[in-house]
Amino acid sequence: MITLLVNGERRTVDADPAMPLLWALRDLLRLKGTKYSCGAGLCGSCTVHVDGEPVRSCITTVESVAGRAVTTIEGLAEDGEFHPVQAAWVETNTPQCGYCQPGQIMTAVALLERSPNPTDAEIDEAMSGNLCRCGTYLRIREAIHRAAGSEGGAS
Amino acid sequence: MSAVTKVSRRSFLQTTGLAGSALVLGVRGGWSLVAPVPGLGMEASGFEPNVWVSIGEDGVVRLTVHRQELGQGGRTACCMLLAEELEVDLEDVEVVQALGDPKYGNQSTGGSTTVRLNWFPLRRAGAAAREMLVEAAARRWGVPAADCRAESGAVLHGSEKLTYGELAAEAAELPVPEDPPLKDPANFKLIGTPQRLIDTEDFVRGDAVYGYDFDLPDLLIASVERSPVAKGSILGYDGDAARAVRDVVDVIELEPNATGLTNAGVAVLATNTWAAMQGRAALNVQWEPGPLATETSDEKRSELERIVSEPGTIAREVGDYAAAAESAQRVYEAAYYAPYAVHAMMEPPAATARVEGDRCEVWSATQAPQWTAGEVAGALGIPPGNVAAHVTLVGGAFGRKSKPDYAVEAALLARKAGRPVKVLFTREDEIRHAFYHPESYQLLRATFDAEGNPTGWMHRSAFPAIGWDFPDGGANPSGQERQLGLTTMPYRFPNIRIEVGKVPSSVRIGWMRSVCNMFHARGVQCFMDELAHELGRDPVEFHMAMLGAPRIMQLDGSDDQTAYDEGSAPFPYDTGRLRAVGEAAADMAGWGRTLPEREGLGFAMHYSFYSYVAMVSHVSVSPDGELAVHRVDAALDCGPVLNPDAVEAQIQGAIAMSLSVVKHGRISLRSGAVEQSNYHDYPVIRTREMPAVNVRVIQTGIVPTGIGEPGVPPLIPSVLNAIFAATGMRIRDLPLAGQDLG
Repeated sequence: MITLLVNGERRTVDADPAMPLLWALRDLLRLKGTKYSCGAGLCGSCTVHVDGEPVRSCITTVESVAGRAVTTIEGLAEDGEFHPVQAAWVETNTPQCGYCQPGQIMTAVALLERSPNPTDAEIDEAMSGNLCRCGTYLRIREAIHRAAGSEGGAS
Repeated sequence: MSAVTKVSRRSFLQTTGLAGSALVLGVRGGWSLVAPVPGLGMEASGFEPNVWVSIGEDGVVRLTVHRQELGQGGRTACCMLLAEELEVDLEDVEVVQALGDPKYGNQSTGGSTTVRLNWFPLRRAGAAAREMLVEAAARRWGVPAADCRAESGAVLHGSEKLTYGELAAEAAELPVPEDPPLKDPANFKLIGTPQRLIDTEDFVRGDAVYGYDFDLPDLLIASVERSPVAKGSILGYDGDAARAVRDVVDVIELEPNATGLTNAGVAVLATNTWAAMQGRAALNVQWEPGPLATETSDEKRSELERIVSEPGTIAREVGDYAAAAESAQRVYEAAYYAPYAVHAMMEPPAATARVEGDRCEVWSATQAPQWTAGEVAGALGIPPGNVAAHVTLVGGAFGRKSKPDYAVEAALLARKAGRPVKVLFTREDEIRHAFYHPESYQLLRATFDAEGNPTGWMHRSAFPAIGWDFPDGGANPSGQERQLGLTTMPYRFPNIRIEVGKVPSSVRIGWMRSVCNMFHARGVQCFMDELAHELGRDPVEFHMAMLGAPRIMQLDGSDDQTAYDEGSAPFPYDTGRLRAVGEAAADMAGWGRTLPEREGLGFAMHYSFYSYVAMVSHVSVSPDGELAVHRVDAALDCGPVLNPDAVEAQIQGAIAMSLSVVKHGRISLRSGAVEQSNYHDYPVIRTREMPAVNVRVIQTGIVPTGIGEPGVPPLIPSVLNAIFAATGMRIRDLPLAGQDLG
């Protein structure tokens, strides 16, 4: 049995220790907001936070995050209120099919936590690991700038 | 017959299981159009009610949407059309996703048709319901209906107000108006305004349910090792090794199905995805590759060259090209190659099935729920009516998810396992077991007289057709495939000969966003740019001169064939509209301005899915060959715009997808097997590669046309023409990756 701290709650899973965190979240804990797309750390769709840092849950074993704080897209909103990054995604009508967006949002949240008012170049650098086939890249950049403003970044 | 028919509440409840609906309207729509304006040729055909509107006593408007959400905004579009005429706020509309059922008309979400084909039917449904609700209120109050008005889900008369919920039961007793008046566009509140997709909050909260996410009690996850070559067969495998993996429940062989939709495979079923994948990795399947293990990409390219070196089947002929070629003083020729490409949508295919006796339910991320139901029924040997084909949200599709192979596999496995089964394609499965965008080779020739006047145009297009049906040999491209940018060439050459070649393939061919338009537009638009330079003409000026005076064209050069089975009459191909978007894009880009060394502008324009799109790409190529696409100015005319925000998003998306094709798109074969496997060897563009995009919309006419696909075709030639402007290099092979631009 492996004990995880997911979105602030202590959860226990009975899993192969080598199982990627992605599948433990999706199949064992029924948290389906974290998405599979490449299974090889190439696209960012499965991004979650471990101790506040963005990681690719498809190539992170569940054993390696035992006892550490895991945050998924389901854990971003507080008391039913969107996180400012989620709100910015809505305000900019960023998603098309929406599938990659939880991973995009998790990466963007981590970016804004370390760089509250990023430049376009910083955004491109931080977001370059997250693919979107619908082509929402321009709106993602706009949404990050908007979220930076709403968080009172160093503007 | 009226366009909107009232159906009994009981029949409605039987068909959809929705309770509490007092006013229920069936609307005809889908593939047929309801005539809103005399003389447009938009006569209704097919009278099965296919889109359902209900207003409950709680005032909630429910719309059963028969088209799928792929990210293109289809669900939202349907809601906007209804809400506009019904006079309800968009937030008050509830959406029910239709199952696959013939009663809805055509549910195939492809061909950029959702807005175009539902523009009038859904508005008429909303208008009919509104008229009935107003009439019910007028009777209650004893006043003329003309003195009442509908607004935000209520009918008003002076200071009196009755909500739709209060009126629904009485309204349901009234006759359905034969010809409900549609609103004057000047009074539109929703149509033409930017609206976010109705699923947006679910998307960002992470609780949108895609095919991958759908869940049932007692569900098993299946991961399937399929034959690496189509039509291969199983020689052997180690099922015990797979069963020894923790949480693996079963190993089941899959036979190829008779329609060629699925190939042989071995499925590992487990209680979680990781176990299914681990079990599959232990199978060590040995394959007999079969008759299609022949094609290797380098050899195939030579074969395509050979095919276009000889005359093909004539697709369009004007005048006498052979005579023109004989007497020509100048002849120019170029050939353009592109390899196979694949969709690489973010959500790989996924479907869940539950089989009980001779009944089956499937839940899949699909563009085609009716085809899904039919194929599943065929595979299980049960009546089509016994299959309930549900549709989940679709995490990108681009044509791939029109094919229901994964739903068929899920159904077969669920029956054999005796439990619900979800089939999940891995990324490698998605890349290697697709229905591919065809490899293509385009040979173009143009002839001119001594004064440089055009005399002839010859275009030979060779590509494996969607109708290619192994193992019997290649089929010629269909009329529809020829109309996708080949026969629709709009330039006024006095003698024209356009041909298609018959090409065999080792892989299955399918649809990918804009389909054959992608390579046909590149051939025509790159060649026009080459001709302009050869003749010493400005490319934009040359395009416009060759378009000549505006005229209405047929799609194939004759009078009687039309695209997409519906008649092109409501959607005339007007070269004047093409000229207008071309001039607009050139204007937006500041065409003709002087740029620094190794920067360039490239122009292209194209008509597809009844819409007109022109693009100018601004690129730079560094001395060591690094390409950057800085900005794309896009002008388009897709008729009246329903949701301008979605139109802009579709153009941004089309640019991202086609830029991936031009830079990276290459699927290659070795002995019939696909060599690529994931985003490392089939790259798609990342955020830093995305150009700035400016969109200008010209709204002509009263009928909307397609927007999901038409942004794709012009981008590729506009980038290639810009590379020529920047470097003097003509790139005639795709992709750019691996070619030296320095």
